[in-house]
Amino acid sequence: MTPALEVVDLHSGYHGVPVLHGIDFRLEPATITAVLGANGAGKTTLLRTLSGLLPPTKGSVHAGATNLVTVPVEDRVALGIAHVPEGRGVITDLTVQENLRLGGLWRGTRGQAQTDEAIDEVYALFEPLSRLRARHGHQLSGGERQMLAIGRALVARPTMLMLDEPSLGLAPSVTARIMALLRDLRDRTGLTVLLVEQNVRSALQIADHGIVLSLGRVVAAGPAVELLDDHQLRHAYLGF
Amino acid sequence: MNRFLFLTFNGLSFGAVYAAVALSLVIIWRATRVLNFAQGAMAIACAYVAIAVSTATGSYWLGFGAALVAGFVLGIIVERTVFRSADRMPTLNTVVVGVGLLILIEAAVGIFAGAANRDFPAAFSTATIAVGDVPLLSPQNIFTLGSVLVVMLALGALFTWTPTGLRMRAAALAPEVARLLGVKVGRMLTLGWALAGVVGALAAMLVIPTGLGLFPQAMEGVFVLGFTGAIVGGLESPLGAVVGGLVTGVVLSYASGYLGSDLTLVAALVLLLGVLLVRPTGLFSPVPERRV
Repeated sequence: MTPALEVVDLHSGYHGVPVLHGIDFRLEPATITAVLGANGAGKTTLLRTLSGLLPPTKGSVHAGATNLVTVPVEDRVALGIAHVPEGRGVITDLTVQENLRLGGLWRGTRGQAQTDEAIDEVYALFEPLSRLRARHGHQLSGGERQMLAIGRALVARPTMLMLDEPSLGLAPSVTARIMALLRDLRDRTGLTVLLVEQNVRSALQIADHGIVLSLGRVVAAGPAVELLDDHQLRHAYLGF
Repeated sequence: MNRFLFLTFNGLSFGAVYAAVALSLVIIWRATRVLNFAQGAMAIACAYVAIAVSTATGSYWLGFGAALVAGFVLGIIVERTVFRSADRMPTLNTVVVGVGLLILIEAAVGIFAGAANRDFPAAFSTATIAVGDVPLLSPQNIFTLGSVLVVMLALGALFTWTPTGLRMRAAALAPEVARLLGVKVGRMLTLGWALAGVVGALAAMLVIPTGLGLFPQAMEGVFVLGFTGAIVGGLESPLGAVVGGLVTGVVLSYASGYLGSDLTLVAALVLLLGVLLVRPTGLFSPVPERRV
């Protein structure tokens, strides 16, 4: 099966300081993969490099036949790749409806009907948002902002969704709801999810696979169940 | 009472010009965090284009249109060549670059068009029309107010109702997120500079015929008062820029009419200080959240 994403020997960093040192992995379609590791392991850097916000210094990232390294970040959403950045990325000076409209603007005016349909789907999926259409982002709770950030990414109808710390600062019940939603999207739409998460237990409970990073290198990878059962690995790298 | 009405309407008319300058500054500030100190000089360069085209074609309106087109093009050129990397510059550097550009443009205009004060025709009569016994506004004043109102509404509609406006706002508010959503941020910033160039050129075309005259430094004073309007209204708010510009115009008109024209600039300074002391972000900008 063609992987949804294939990462080969990926190196990246900030201002000449290397952070990632030769990352290799592949994501199968319609799976959830959790990227785990301590603070400073390179999780966010990995996502920023994959989405194009940070140019790699070496290596390749293939989505099908396309090497994403050569694709400008603005054009990646049209290839089905969506990234919900750390801190949720909701534009707080825009309303809920405007944030969602932004998610489909890449289609241009010809894709307006498709965007309207996708926005309706998001409102059906996140029912509370439908009552808050005219509210500005700064008037939303943390959970509502996270719903909006994920919903805005879904308006693009991506085939691959990258999420950076979606549970950060959220109540456990809201986190559980978001994790359940990701599993539902995977099963229902075939979405491939790459999930960076500090909340290791909840991430591995919904993930099919896990990748453990330490100091910019992959130190373990495999089925999520096996990672959960590996006491030595959990103790050494995941802190529980 | 008659004098009060006259001064109010006169202040609103000049305030509309300050509002246009303030609006051009706010558009750029919101998008790039650059205070473009060369905005007045860019506007005056456009006015010279207008007079050249008007002289060559014999049509005032062709010249007027040429000034707006020149503002659009000059905005693009300045953004692409001078301020493209502004987001990586410290704020002070952008100020220095802006002042340098101001000097460069004024010097270039002086070299190519001469430094003498030239007459510049108004679009309409500048003779004041009296309503009852009260001289209120000239047709040129009405044109000025109407033009700025139309531009403000057009920009409001652009930013609020159109996909391009939404892209521009997203690019200004959260460039990284906007890029992830497919917005060509650089293109949106360029468009912002181009629109600001048009609004600045419009301000020059409206104010120069009102006795100011056309010479390379003609917009310096207007820029200072437009800048005052932008600060009074709040650099984050286009509506604030318009209101701030109008308030500045009216306050200066009262100061000039009741206290003497020597105190006009002092009044501007007092207004600026008063607003900054009471509400440092300006009347319409949101107060930033404090983290505790």
